[in-house]
Amino acid sequence: MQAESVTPTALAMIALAVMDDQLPFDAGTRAALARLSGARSCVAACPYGYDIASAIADFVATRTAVANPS
Amino acid sequence: MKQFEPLGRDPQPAGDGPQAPPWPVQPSTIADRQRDRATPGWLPELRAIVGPQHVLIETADLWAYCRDRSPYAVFSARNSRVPATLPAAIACPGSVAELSEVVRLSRRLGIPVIPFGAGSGVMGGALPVADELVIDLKRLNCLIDLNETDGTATVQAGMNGGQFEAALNARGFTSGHLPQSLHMSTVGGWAACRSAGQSSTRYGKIEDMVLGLEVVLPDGQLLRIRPAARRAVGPGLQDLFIGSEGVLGVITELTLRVWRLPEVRHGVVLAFPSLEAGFGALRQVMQSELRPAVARLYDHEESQQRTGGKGLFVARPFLAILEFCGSARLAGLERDLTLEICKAAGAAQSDDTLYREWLKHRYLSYSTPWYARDYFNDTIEITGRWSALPGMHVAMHEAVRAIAPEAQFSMHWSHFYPDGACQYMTLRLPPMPEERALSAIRLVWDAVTCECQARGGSMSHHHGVGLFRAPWMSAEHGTGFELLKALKQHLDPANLFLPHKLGLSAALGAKTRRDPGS
Repeated sequence: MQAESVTPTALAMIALAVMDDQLPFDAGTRAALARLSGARSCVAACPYGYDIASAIADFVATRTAVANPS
Repeated sequence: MKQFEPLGRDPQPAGDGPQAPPWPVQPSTIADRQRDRATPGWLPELRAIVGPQHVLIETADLWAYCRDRSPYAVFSARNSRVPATLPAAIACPGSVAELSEVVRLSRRLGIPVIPFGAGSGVMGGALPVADELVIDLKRLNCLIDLNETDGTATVQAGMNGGQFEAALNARGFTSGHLPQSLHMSTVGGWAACRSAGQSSTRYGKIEDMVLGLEVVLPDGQLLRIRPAARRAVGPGLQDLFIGSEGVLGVITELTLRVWRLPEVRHGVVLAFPSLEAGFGALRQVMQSELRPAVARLYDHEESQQRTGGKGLFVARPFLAILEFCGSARLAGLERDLTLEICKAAGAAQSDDTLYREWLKHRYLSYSTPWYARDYFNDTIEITGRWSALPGMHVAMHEAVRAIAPEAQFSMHWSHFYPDGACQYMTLRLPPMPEERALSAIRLVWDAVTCECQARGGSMSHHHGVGLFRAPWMSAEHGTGFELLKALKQHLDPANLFLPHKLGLSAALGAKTRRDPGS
């Protein structure tokens, strides 16, 4: 998918807004944060050396666990 | 009929203090902007054009498009605030035909639009301010043709700049257009924003490279400007779109002049005894028809940041970094002739450590570490004539000191010409209450811009106008501004393409009425 919302910058923005309680962690947000293939493919190209895809995946896993404690 | 509510802060109250054009937008929470939105009734038609999977309406997706790289937008994003409005929806057309249909839909139903490349602009041009439909061009991302005989490349507008350059490099070519934003910009965005790369002193700016264009006009028609080395068949139509920032049409395809990868690159690091010596030497270099690929002269502050004021730079504190590239013989000759000129002006040559350091970080933003410390970091780039630059430098320093004595304000000069250069200024405000910071920033912009225009310069070398420079467009163009507005009125009478951008339509804060049947 070639859209801005799958870029590392956008994924970071979305995650930050969830952390700030400015964006609900609803189905639409979870769907946006699940689209990580583009971010994964450009990890090596990041001039800052960040792995945003992994950071987002970890954040979603943590947030989901908090929302659905076993 | 849709009525756009006024946005923006109230004008500054009259008084004895300095006045500046206010910020045209006011941030808000995502929830507030989401509450203000209605689901557009035209979504089914849009989905039928581009496919339902290529229309985005979830809040998270809309939020992702509420940014560019302006400090205003970056700080808004950091605080999870929408700079102005959420977009109405996002469409990602997969072909020019689909894009044209989307534009026709927009025209028929009065839907304001924003063509979106990668959002690397710094002037608010890509920010939604009127519930626009954002048209993301990144699916139009192919290198269509590389003609190795003619030295031309034809590329779709949504191709990422870094990927375009990599594709050319793989075949032994370079675009020669290497902005700091290379990896986070698109080729179409380069042309729309009339950008300049770091190697522009040798290879030219984007307007020197574009030979032909394809544009979807605001009525959905396709305009093709066939690539040609040059033509004298009336005024150049290309220039209506290069620098239009999308307000006159959407660039969908470009043919650019490209270059063989250079055989060699020579980095040169110089220490000048004074700025005047540096200006004089580099002016002579350019007027001697030498063409360094990179030429950067730093003021005292920026020199100190890079050199630490050590070694050669104690007695000669002004740093210059140059690069020569091309064939081994030509690059070597240009380097040697340049060194003669610079040494005659009192410069001493250092080793190339600082050049290699610059090369290593050339595509990184210098702002990031300052943002992390809550500094408001902004940049202002203007064009000045050689004869005016020394005075501009002093006057702008004084103006900024008067407005914000605690600010860090420094500059360097690059993108050199026989008749002048780009003066690139960095303003950093230490952490302070946001209202005070925003007021100070706007006052600085006003002072610097007015000083530049009064001294015969241009208020923007390559960052463009967008939203935030709109108040100064009339002073910049004079009578020419009426010509631009007339052109906008002719091509886009309903003001649907990037309303409020470039100052070509009613300023934000003025009520506008839109007839959806236009």
